[in-house]
Amino acid sequence: MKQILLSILTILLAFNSFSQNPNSIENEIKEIRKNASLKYNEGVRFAKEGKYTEAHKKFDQSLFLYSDFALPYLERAKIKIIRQEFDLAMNDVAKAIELNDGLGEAFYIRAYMKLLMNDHQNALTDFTHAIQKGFTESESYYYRGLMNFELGDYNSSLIDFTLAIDKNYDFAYAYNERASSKRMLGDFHGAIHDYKQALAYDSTIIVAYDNRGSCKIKTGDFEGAIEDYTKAFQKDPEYYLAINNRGSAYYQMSNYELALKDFTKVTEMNKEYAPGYNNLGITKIQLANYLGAEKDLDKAIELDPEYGAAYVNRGYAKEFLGKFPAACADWKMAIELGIEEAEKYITECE
Amino acid sequence: MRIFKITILSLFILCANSLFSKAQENLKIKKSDFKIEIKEVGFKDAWKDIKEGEKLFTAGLGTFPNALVYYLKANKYNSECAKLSYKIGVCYLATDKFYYATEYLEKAYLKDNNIADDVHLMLARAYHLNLDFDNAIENYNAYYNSFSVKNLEKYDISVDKYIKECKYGQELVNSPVRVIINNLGERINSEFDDYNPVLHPNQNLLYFTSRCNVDKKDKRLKVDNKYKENIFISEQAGELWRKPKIIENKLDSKSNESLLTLSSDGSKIFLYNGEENGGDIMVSELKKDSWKSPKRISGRILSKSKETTITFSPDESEMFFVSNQYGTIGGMDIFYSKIDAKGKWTEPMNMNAAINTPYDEEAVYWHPKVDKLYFSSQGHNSMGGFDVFVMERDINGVWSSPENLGYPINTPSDDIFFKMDETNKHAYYSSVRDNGYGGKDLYKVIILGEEKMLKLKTDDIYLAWNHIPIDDLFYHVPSEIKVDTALFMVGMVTDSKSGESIKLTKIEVIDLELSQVVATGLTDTAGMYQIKIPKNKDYGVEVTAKDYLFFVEIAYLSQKQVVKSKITVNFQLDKIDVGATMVLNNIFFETNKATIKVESTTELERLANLLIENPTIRLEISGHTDNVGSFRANQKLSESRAKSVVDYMVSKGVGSSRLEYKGYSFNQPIADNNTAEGRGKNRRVEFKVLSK
Repeated sequence: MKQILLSILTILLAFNSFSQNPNSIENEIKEIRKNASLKYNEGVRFAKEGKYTEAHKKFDQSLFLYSDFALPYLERAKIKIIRQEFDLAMNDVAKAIELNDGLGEAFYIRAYMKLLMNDHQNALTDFTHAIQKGFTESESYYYRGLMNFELGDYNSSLIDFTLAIDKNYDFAYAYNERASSKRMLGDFHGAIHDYKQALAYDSTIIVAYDNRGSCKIKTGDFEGAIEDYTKAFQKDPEYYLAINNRGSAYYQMSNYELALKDFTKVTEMNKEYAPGYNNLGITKIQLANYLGAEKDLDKAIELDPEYGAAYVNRGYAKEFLGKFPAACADWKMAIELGIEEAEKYITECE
Repeated sequence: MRIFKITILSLFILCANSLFSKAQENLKIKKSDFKIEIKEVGFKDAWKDIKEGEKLFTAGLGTFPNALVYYLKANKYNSECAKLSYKIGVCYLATDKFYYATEYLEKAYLKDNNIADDVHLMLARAYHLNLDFDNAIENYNAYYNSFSVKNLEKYDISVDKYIKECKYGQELVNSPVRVIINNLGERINSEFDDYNPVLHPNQNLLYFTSRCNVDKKDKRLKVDNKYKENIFISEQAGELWRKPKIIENKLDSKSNESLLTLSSDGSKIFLYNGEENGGDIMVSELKKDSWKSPKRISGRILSKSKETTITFSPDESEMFFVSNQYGTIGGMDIFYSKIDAKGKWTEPMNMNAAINTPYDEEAVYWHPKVDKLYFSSQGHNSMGGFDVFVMERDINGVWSSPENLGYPINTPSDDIFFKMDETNKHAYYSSVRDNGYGGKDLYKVIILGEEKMLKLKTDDIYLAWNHIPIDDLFYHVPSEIKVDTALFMVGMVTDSKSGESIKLTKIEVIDLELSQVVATGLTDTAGMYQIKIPKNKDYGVEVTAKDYLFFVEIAYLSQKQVVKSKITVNFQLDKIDVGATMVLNNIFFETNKATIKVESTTELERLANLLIENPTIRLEISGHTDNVGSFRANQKLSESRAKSVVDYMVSKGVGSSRLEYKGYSFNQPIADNNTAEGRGKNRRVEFKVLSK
C-alpha cells in the first residue's frame, strides 16, 4: 500500500535568509506581527481575569516578537502601576507614546502617573491630550477634574466632574468631587445635595459624610453636621478626622466640654496629628486651663514645627499666663510662617 | 501718760467703704423668733450659737465673719427664721463671699417685708456687689421711697450716689477690659485684709500690709474690731512667692504701719505710721544692708491732718500724696509738690477739681517709667467703693482727665493700691473678689493686648479619589485586537503510480472534536487545491476522487509551531485497480468480539459510498489479527470481523454478490508482532479489489 505524505512547512523567520524577495520579507513581517498580536491577545485574556503576572509575561513575549508594538507597552505599564513600579511604568508608557502618539489611553496613563507624582499641571495637560485623542471615558474627565481642583480651578473641575457623571450617572466618586468643587465655589446647598448623591450610590465613601458635615456647618446646621461626623466615625472607627471635625463643631457651638472630649480622643487615636493637639489646646484656653493649653500647643509645634496657627494659639495661652516675651516670640514665628494677622499682635510687643 | 490717737491706713479706706456707710440695723433675735415649738432637739446648742453670733455682730464689722460662722450653725436648726436670714445676709456682705448675701436677704424679705427698715438698702447693696444693677437700682429706689416726707432727713443721700454707681457699672461691665486677675494665693493672702502691695524695684521682693494676727496675744483694735496693720515681705521663687515674713524690727512699730513706696533705687522706704499726727508718712534709709529707724518725712507736705499715701516721679523731683489737709475739695484729696530751684519741696498744691472729687481719692502711684498716675477714687465714674483710675501727663505738662481702668479690674467693692510694672503688662493691687481667702486680697493683674483670634483647625479630605484602590478606577480592561488566524492549506493531488495530477479531487477538512466538516476544496485542472481552515488544530482530512481509492489522514496541525498562515500538504491517491488493497484504519471492534463500535460508522460509510459510486467493483473484505492466542481462535475472530463489515455493507444496499470475506488469522502481518505498536497495526480490516 502506498503511503500518502503529509508535510508541513517549517517556520521561516524573516531574518534568516538573504535570498528572500521583498514580498517574502513583507510576508514574514506580517507573520511576526500577527504572532505578536496573538501573544498580546493572550495577555489581554489573562489581564481580564486579573492574572497580571501571566499577562505581563505574554506582553513581554509579544514585545520579544515585535518590539515596535505600542499596545503591549501600554498594558505592561498599567500592570506596573498596579505593582507600584512607577519608574518602569513610566518608561513603558513613554515608549508606547513614542511608537503611537495617537494612542489616547497612553496619554491617560501617563497623566495618571503624573497625578500620582503630584505633578498636577502636566497631568492636566496629558489628560486633555487623552481626551483630544479620543480616550473619552468618564474617568478621563474625572481625573482631569481632579487636576483642575488641585490647581484651584474649581469652575473647570465642576464641568469635568459633570461630564464624568454624564457618561456614568452612578459615578459616586465624581459626585463627591463635584460636591467639593461646589463647596469651594460657595454653593454649600448644592454641595450637600451632591454628597448625598455620592452616598446614595456608594455608602462606603466615608469622606462624603465628613464633607457633608462640614458643609452643614457652613449653612448653620450644627446638629446635622454632628450627625454626619458621627456617621463617618461609626462607619470607620479609625477616621479620626471626623472626630476632629465634630469636636470643632462643638467648639463653634461653645460646647467646650464635648469639644474637649473629642479632641482628646483625636490625640489618642493619632498621636502624630498636630491639629488635634492644636484644637485641644485652644479648647483648654476656652476653659481657662492655660497651662494645659500651652502643653498641648507645645506638642502640636513639636509635631509640626512649621504650624503657624499653633504658634498664634500658643502665644495666646502664654499671654494669658503673663509670659509676654514668649508670647511675642510665638507671634513673630507665626508671621515668619505666613500668618499675617499676627502682625498686629506684635505691635504690643514693642 | 501719753495717749496716742491711733489711726490706720486702711481705716480711711474702710470708712470710705461704702458698704456700711449707713449702719445696718442690729435686729435682736428673740427666742420666740427662733425656737421651733415642736423641735426641741438641737435648740439648746443652736440658741448658744445665736447668742455668740449676736455678741460678735454687735462688736462690729471686723467680727462679722466670725458672727457668720455661728449664725450659719444656728441656721441648721431653723433656716426659716427671717431675722437670722437677714443677719446672715448682712454678715455675708462684709465678706468676700458677698455673693451668698442675696439668697439670705431675699429669703428674709420674702418672710417679712418689714424685717428691717434698711432691708431694701441691704438687698440693693447685695445686688450691687453682684453686678445685678437693675435690681440694685430698684431696691435703692424702694429704700428711698420707704422714707416719709417727715423723716426724709434721715435718708442717707449717699444712696443717690450708689444709683449713679450702678449706672456707671452697667456701662463698664458691658465693655470689659482684657485682663486676667489672679489671686496671689494662700501663701500671701490670709483670711484677714491684705492690701497695699509694693514691689521692690528689682521686682523680686513684695511688700504688703496685712491685718492678720501675728501673735495669739494680739488684740483687736476698738476702732474697727480688727487686728493692727503689719508690713510683710515675701521673696519671689520662680512663678510663686515664698511664705511672707514680718518686716524687720526697726521698721515695725507697736503702732499701725504700712509700706507706701520705695525710692527708685530701693535705698529709701516710705511708711505710713498711724501714731504720728493722726497718720503721717515716715522714711527710712538703707545703710549697710540695714534699715535705719524711720523718721518723719521732711518738708512742707506734712500737716496736722492725715497724710496717707505718697508717690514720686521716676526722677524723684515731683511727688503726689494724699491728705485731707487744708485745701481739700472733699475727704482725702491728691496733692502735688515738686523740688524747686533751691532743692526744696514746694508748697503742696491740691490737684484741681477735675481730679479730686467731693469723695475720697486714695492710693496714688506714679508709673516707674512714664508720666502716668494711678489712683483710686470713690468719685468720678466709680462703679462702687474705690475704683482705680489712671491719668497721663502730656508733653505740655497737662494731666488728662482720670480714666476708669474698667471692669473687671474695678468692681463695686474697693479696688485700690494699683501698681503697674515697668512693662505695662503686669500690675498688683488689692480687691475683694469671688473666691478670695477672706477680706481684701492681693491680686496680680495680667494686662492683655487686643482681642486675638484663636485658630481652630478643621480637616476635610475634599476628594474621595485618595480612597480608591489604585487599580479600581484608572485601569481599563484592554480588548483583544483582531488577528486573522486562518490557515491556508495548499497542495497537489497526484496519481501514486503515474504522478499525474488528479483534477476535481474533493478534499474535506473535519473538526475531530465536533465531527463536523469545517472546510472543503476541489483540485483544479492542475490538481492544485487551496483550503482556508479556521485555526491551528488537529483535523481529519478525507480525499476522494473518481476512480481512486479514498484517502483519510489526520493532520496534526496543533502540535506544530505554526507561525505562518500557509501550509502545503500534497496527497497521492491509488487508482481502483484489480488487486489494489487498502487498510480500513478507522474500523473498531469490541475486544475479542466481532461487534463493530459506533465510532467506525464514518469509515464504513466511506466504504459503502465507494461501492455505490463504483457499482461494478467487487471486493474482498479480509480480517487480520496479531499473533496473541491460537491460530484457530484468531482465524475465527478475523473471519467474523470481516463478515460483520460485509453485513454492514449489505445493510446499506450493496449486493452481497459483490463482496467476499475471509479471515487470515495472523498469517499476513504488516508489522512486527513483537511490539505493541506492531500488533496494533496487524489487528485490522482490509479490502482488496477483486474486479472492476
